[in-house]
Amino acid sequence: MEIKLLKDGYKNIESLYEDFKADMIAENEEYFSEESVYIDQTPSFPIYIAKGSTEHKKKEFLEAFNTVTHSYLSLDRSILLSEHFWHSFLLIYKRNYIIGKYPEVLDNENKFKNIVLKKLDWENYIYKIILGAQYIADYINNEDQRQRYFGLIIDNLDLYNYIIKYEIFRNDDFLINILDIIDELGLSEILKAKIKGREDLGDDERYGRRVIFELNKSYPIVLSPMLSKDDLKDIFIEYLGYYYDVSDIKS
Amino acid sequence: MTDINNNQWKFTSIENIEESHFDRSLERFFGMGVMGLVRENIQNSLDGYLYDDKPVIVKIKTGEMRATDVPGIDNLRERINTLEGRNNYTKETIKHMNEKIKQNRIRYMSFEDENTKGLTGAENGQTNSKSDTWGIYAYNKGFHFEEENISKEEIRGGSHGVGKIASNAASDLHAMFFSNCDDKNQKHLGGTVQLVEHWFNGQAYRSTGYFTDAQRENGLLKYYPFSNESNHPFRKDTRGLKIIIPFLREEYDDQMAIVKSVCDSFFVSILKNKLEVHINDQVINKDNLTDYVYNDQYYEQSVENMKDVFTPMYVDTYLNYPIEKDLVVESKDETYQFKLFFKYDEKISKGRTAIIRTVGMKIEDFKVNGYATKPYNAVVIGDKKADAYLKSLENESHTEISNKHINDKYLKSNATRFINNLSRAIKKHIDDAIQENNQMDGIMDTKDIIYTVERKFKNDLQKATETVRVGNGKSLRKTKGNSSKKERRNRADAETNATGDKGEKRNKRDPLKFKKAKGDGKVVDEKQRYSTYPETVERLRLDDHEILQFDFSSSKLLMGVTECDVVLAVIDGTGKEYSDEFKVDSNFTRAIDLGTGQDCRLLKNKITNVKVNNGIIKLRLDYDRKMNKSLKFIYYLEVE
Repeated sequence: MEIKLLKDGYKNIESLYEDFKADMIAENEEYFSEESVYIDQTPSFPIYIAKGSTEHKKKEFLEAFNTVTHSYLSLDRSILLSEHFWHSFLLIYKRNYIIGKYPEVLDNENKFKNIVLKKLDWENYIYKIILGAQYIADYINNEDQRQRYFGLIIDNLDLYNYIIKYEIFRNDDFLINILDIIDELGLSEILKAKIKGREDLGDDERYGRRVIFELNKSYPIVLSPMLSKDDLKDIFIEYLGYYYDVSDIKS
Repeated sequence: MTDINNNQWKFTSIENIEESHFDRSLERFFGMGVMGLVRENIQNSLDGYLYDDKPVIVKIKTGEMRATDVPGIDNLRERINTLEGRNNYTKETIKHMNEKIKQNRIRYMSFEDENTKGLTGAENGQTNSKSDTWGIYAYNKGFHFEEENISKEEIRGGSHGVGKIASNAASDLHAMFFSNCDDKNQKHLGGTVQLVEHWFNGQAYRSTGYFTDAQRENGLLKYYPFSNESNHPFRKDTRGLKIIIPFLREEYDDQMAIVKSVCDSFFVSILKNKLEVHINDQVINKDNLTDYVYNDQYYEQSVENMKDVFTPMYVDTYLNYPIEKDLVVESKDETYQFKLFFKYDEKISKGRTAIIRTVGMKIEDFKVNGYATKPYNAVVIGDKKADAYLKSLENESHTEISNKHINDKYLKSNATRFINNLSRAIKKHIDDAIQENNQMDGIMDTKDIIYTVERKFKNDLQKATETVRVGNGKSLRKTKGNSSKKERRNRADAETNATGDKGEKRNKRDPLKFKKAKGDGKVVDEKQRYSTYPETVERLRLDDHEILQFDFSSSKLLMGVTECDVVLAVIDGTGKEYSDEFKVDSNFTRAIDLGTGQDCRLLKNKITNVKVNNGIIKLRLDYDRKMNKSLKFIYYLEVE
């Protein structure tokens, strides 16, 4: 299917939101550039997963991971990680899906911007999904294992967000090692928890975030993205130990 | 109704004029110039090859002739005189035609092939038989004849059947002739002209005219070709086909462009000895192709500067860099094989892949997505199966592989898959070549990595530090040692001022840099803050403590200063600075000033009351058990 790309500066076009609501973008040539990309399949998947019960969010994430893995990962990375492409795709080709699934985008422009026109970085759900899907799918061939890792990402989403926030950790080995360590040591719940009794830290500090931040601060003295799982595990526990009593955690 | 007797040019009568413009393909082919014309005609000749072991010979001639020698010129003139333009573009074209047709001496170009079959079944005239190629070539457009032998059909050229119109586009009158001599030595002459729909003697006619005879059979009019009794340049006495374009447009009359078009599009055919081309008195064959391609009169020879035309590189790659293993590319339902030629050369600035069909014609300078500036050059040649598929992907003028003209949804997505996979297969070669040419040994020397990373880190840090500011009447001067862009601008001055001992006079930068207080510009505690350059700091890390030493002895800023505070800000792995992240009071158990042996006070992110001895600061810092020992810092000095 041909996906026509919007012309540069589309975000600044004042009428964009109104035209989106009125379904007038697709027919207005003025929005389009000369460029287009071709993709085989264009199934819809959840692009915003911030609401609902934990169970519901899990389901949505899993659906998104699987759809992206099957239908979008074969795209060239220059397209796959292009904000321009995703915004064009959503605005023009997924309008009905978006309105059906996220009717709040019609309420006000901020919601629209936050759900549809969101910058494609680590805070964007599409970005989270693509990176996760890519790292897992590239590394793991077994379908059951893939589902297990997708599940691990979903269960440790807060930590995952912090991993992909830093470009030094955007790396399949590292992500999979960390997920394995969490899984083996049963740390998921601890890492998600808020740190207590440390007024010197910020308001919403969590054990997992701090461990990732310690790893970040130590880089490149400690080249954590390149370490073997066992080496990384020792350091992981050591850093967790700065904030949490790790004497019960088996190493 | 067509007037049989008087006119050598036949136009089909119609009820009324519906379309008043020229065939759109004319303009498109005209836009492609010599290249389009040469490609179409030579490709047709290659398709009609007769012998496996002898090259097809195509003789291209340009020359002058009398307009009156053009067959049927009087009829044509009458028609052109009656044309009426309905819009500016057609008006202009018709005016141009009317001017040109008045000329007595005209230019022409011809393409004559040998060692080819020529067209067959001319004596059967207008038929629907697939084997009568004359009937198809002469009387149909947008339709190409198919070989009865499928394997031949797959490797023959044209897939859109509009190629003939490339020759019409090269004529001021949009007229072309084809002169055929078949295996029975039967000689026929045909031609087509592309006008607009027009009125002639009270009757409306279609835009396409055929230079042909006709007979009425069972009440229906059927075209039969004239047997060829014309003179040069319309004669064709050996088996094969000759295309003659009278009233050649000036833009096509360019020997150099013709030679280059032949080399650009057919270097593989020629080098494989499947084709030999004569252009007036120049001959291009397998033995001398490189004389043209490696000649700077024809082609830019410097690899670095090849940015639009890549033929010399392709030829070099094709001749010298064959790859043993075929390139295998899958579409959704098929696997195709390509012979690959691949060269890696750091000097190459634009990476292109020539996609070549089995007949040896280049289709495209294929850009692999994201790899258009990688230093490689490649030639890929499809096998018969790949050829058939490539043919279906080509655009009308055979110059690009794309899925844009495919309407069927499945075929389109299949084409996308194919193009992606082709790109991927080529990418892999490029990646491998890059890796091979930038090889690292099996065991990584991590010292190097850390060094590089640290250097990069240092560089980034230096870049990130702010430009020098002047504070509280102290004037600071940028040093030449740390040349920035601004300083470079003054280089000329600096050089003219320089005396013989300039090397020695060069100032080193001050190891300290004034740093404006954060916040809204208020000086909080009346202290000046300076950032330090990494080279002034030395850290000796031991198991449970470290020795931290600063050397500011060369700093003018610190002259006379005896005491300061040291502030630590941690730097993360991405180079970002966190000023309040690292608390000295919870990470160090003790800080001892080694200059005095006294303990220093630890307060939030500051070590306070540190003595400065002739610009030297030396501290021992004892680690807390829970301190991350792999951190790196930027240090600030605060001075009253």
